Amino acid sequence: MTETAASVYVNEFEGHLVGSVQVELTESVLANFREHLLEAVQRTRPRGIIIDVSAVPFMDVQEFTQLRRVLNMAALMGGRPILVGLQPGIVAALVEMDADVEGLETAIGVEQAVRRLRDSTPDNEQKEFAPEFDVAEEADTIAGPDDAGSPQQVDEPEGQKSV
Amino acid sequence: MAVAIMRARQQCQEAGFDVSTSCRVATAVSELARNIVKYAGQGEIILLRVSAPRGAGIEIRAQDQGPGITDIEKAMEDRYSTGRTLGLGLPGVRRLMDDFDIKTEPGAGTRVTIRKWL
Ligand SMILES: Nc1ncnc2c1ncn2[C@@H]1O[C@H](COP(=O)(O)OP(=O)(O)OP(=O)(O)O)[C@@H](O)[C@H]1O
Ligand SMILES: [Mg+2]
Repeated sequence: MTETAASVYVNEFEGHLVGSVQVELTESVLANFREHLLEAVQRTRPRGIIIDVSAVPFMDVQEFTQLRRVLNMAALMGGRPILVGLQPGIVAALVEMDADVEGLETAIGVEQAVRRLRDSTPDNEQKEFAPEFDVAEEADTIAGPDDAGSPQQVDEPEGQKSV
Repeated sequence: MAVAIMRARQQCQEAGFDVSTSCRVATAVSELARNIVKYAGQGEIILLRVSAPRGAGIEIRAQDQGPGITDIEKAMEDRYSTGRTLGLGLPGVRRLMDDFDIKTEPGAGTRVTIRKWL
């Protein structure tokens, strides 16, 4: 685990990176987060990059746009960024402001994001990573768009969510 | 600016708005504050609790002595910007709030007054 600054963390989990921000995205917090996240992406070559902002109490349009930029950078490096936990009030305001939310992959929580990534990972790759917690009971929660040709669990209902 | 946004959120919640509405108001305040910084350099943001026959609410005045806005109708249009950004600020603020009023005079400054009612 790398602690990059008070309340900004980047952890490795099941071959993914989980970045968590727990304060408002001031310019210095964002710069710090970007630097450490991209460094971790290069070092660990994660398949998924889960960015958890559930503890961010408020984010304005510009801060959201800057955060998206960081996610785009991580995607350019070959990762698959998923934004997780945006507060409902922030979402409402962003949409009413007509902020650009297109093409952003999101999930309701970290577990759902991990599950989605697991579901869209080929079996042989998946074996390397023993799941540390079981989220199978949450079959009714959101699971996202699967990559073409990836294994589907047919016994469980699949929903889609992409903001 | 960050302080104004934080205060706005606090005041909203103290006034009895839910978290979601408080976020909306804070977003509006942030847009007005960013406009002041960007176009006028400096100004002030005043937060007030208001009450009227229709009930209680919160009022925010964002005012500056900057260059003012020459074409206010255009400025209120979606995607009009003289600052090479998206131009979504003012129209978005109007959508987020219940009341929106803008007074501006080229060369003298701008005052935006917005209100949200409980
Ligand atoms: N306080 C102000 N003083 C002078 N001009 C202003 C002020 N606020 C807004 N304007 C003018 O009104 C235009 C529209 O403002 P608006 O906030 O809608 O868009 P923007 O600031 O250009 O872009 P965005 O808010 O999307 O980043 C601005 O481009 C600017 O010309
Ligand atoms: Mg603006």
